[in-house]
Amino acid sequence: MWQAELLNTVLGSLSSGVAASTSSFESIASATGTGSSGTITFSSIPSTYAALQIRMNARTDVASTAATVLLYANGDTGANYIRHNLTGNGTTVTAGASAAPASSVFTILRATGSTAPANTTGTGILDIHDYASTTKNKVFRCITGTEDNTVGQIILYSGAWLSTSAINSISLYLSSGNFTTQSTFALYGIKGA
Amino acid sequence: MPATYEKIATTTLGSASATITFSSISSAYTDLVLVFVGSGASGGQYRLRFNGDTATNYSSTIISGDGTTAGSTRYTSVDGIKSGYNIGTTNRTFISCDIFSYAGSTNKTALLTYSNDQNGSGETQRTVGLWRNTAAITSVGLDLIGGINFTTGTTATLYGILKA
Repeated sequence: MWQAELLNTVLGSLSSGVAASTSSFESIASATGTGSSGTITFSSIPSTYAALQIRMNARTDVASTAATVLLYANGDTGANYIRHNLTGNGTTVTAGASAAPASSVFTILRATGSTAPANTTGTGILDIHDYASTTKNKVFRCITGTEDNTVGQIILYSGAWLSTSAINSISLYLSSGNFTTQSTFALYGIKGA
Repeated sequence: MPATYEKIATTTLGSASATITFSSISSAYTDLVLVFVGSGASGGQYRLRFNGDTATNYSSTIISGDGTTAGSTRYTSVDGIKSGYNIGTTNRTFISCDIFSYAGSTNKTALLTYSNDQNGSGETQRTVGLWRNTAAITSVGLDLIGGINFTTGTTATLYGILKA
């Protein structure tokens, strides 16, 4: 979903007469794969935004054309995650879901693996609204996919972390293997009115 | 220094045109976002190309629904990232395209949304597309296959997103 409505706005002015420039869409942090780790963590996430967005462009050394990227919030690796997905592979559409009642495995993004053509990455945009709420479980939305001119997958995910805690850290991880140095992850905050 | 989410350029067609192109794109951002709202004179499938490359260096995987059927389609070694479904002629079609690490040294991957409803027909799509080229993207071009014109009033805006 595009964020065109979140253009920069200029609010007020400083006493010096120079206009203060503030943005509704702000970059919080970014990370790059190291080649020796399968985990990326954004920590100390401020609670001052209305929503978060993670934008991923990633490749792994997993021995496959593509690899699943998992998520946990606030260090919670317990069975507190649920998700649904709709997947297209160029031939068929399949629907899936995590095992009931809840799972510790929260699949949310897709990256390429080591057998994908060189210099080819998977991408994804993950949105989390009301991440700082202390009264609501956290809901996630993601569009992600890999495409290498031989095989491809486009996947829509929805999911939830069954916790009313405000999210202050997000970890994206692989069940095995590492993110290569071609992998980039960026965390953005979107302000409310 | 660019802002985090910034409009780079916008085009609104004052007359029908076969192509919309954004060129001389700065490498200062991390990702690009192209937003299109428009229609075609007689339909036509959109086609997205980079750096004027018209060779068969593109591919895509699409998931779609047309009100009756959910489906998935692939295009391999084709001459642009495309939808396989005509854009609207009456009601405008809304397309967004996120292009990741467009100035980096990997092949260029994009995620697209396509929304087209003509009150009796239409399709919604989500697409992952690939341009097999490690060069930085300096231009983005959009046209309709078959040389069909975009109609007057069609708009396209290019945004840049900058990570920390």
